Amino acid sequence: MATVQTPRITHGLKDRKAHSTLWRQSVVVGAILLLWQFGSGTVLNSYYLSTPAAVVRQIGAWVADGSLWPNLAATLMTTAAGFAAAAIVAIPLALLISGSRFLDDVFSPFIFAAYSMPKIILAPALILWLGIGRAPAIVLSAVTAFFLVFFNLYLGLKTIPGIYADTAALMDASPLDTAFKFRLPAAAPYLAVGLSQGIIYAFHGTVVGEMTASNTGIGYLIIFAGSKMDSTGVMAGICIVAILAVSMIYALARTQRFFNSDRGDFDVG
Amino acid sequence: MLADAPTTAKRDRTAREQPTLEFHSVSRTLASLPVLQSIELEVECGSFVALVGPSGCGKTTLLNLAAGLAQPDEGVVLYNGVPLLKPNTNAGYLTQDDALLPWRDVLSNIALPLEVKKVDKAVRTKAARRIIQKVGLVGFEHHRPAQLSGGMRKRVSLARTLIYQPATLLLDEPFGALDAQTRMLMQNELLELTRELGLTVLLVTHDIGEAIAMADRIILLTARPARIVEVVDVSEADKRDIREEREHTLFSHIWNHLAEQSQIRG
Repeated sequence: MATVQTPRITHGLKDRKAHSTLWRQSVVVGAILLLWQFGSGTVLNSYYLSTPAAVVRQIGAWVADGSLWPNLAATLMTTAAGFAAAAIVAIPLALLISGSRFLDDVFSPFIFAAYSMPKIILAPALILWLGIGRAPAIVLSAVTAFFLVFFNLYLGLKTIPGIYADTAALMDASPLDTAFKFRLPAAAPYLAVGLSQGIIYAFHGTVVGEMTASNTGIGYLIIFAGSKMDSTGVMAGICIVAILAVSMIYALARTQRFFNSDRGDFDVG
Repeated sequence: MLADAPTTAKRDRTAREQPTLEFHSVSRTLASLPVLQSIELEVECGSFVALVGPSGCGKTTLLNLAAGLAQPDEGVVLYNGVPLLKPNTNAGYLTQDDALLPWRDVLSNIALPLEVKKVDKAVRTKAARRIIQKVGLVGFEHHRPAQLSGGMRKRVSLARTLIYQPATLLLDEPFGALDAQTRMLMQNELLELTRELGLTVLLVTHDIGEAIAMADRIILLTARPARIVEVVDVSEADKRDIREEREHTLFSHIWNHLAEQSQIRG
């Protein structure tokens, strides 16, 4: 689950190869867009699918009437808030539970059970407790991201050699020092994986939360367009979510690569 | 058997009555396999004791008990007369695999025990630099462990162990993974350091020459479950023999060649 890839620096031939792959991928995307544009209204019912041109016009209209930026900002802020809350709870909890046989035995089954449940079932309760708005989306985002950060770090902390904890014990290190000077840095590659997956899942939780319990955000735009039978609006919203998701993954891959090359001396075996 | 007749007369620097480390009828079972059986052992203050036995016989387990990282199933382990119920913070433990933190450089790895003790940064850096000089790592302060050779990593481990001035050193095949030449250099350096600092040492090794060259007393263990079969006091004559063997013409000829080639760096 938590694997860390060691990036290789690519030169020459590989660069050219990456280039031609990118070119081919652009061809695939272009073909799909063309098929969508010209298939819609001829082979397919444009009422359901809209067209790329109409989607672009719709996004342009949202930009023009000022409704895109506040909703985009709301989605991104909620993702950030949910992710931060998840990380702040998950990191100390993973350190605490993996560091104690007793806590591990008692609490990890509950966390595994909670993980296996669909988080969306919380939505009605969140609306009841917090009302419609940003708050339920933030909570749903945090709950979704929490498990990714927690489990990656938890498994990492249980995988690292026991010699780190033993060394800390022989130095008479305090529990806090043992956690933050020995165990957490030793599990850093797992933490990095957990955090990057956590951001993606915080985004998922945010959009789901906006679709069920909010009145702003990209998720809300999609639901609102859907309720008006506006297929162009739905497709435009989906395209924005897709672009955001792809950009996030791309940015994370870059930072991960930077992180790994900086600490290439890690022995994750 | 051995414990009943400590040869205190011979060791004048071990004037104190109380042995530093005592094992009294210690047994230990790991995963239902008996590993140690009725171990009776006393290590006097300032002595250098080597444990020799077949691999996998439980030598490391014995050291773990002395380090307080494990507890005996039967019997008791005493350090300075007090039962060891938690990690022994008076002992420096040099484990078989080096336990350096790969994300820290040499200097901050060595200063780590003082950092954990909340010693002021300037003070601990100064102490670390002093000990770096002692173990011959000057110029490598800001290297990461992964950038060092096996011998140098051992020096860093040793330096980190010595910085908190332990009274006792527990060494688990400290030089096992090193090439013969580096091993001998490190043996000599370690011997000088332990004499200089008056350390009590418990050394686990499978290298007989190493045991004879370094230890005052050698304890022979059986295959698992380990029992003590014999205790050998090493005389100066024995040490001389080993030294002479090492200074044998061909040996020293090749030795000198290697020493010249590799500017004597571990």
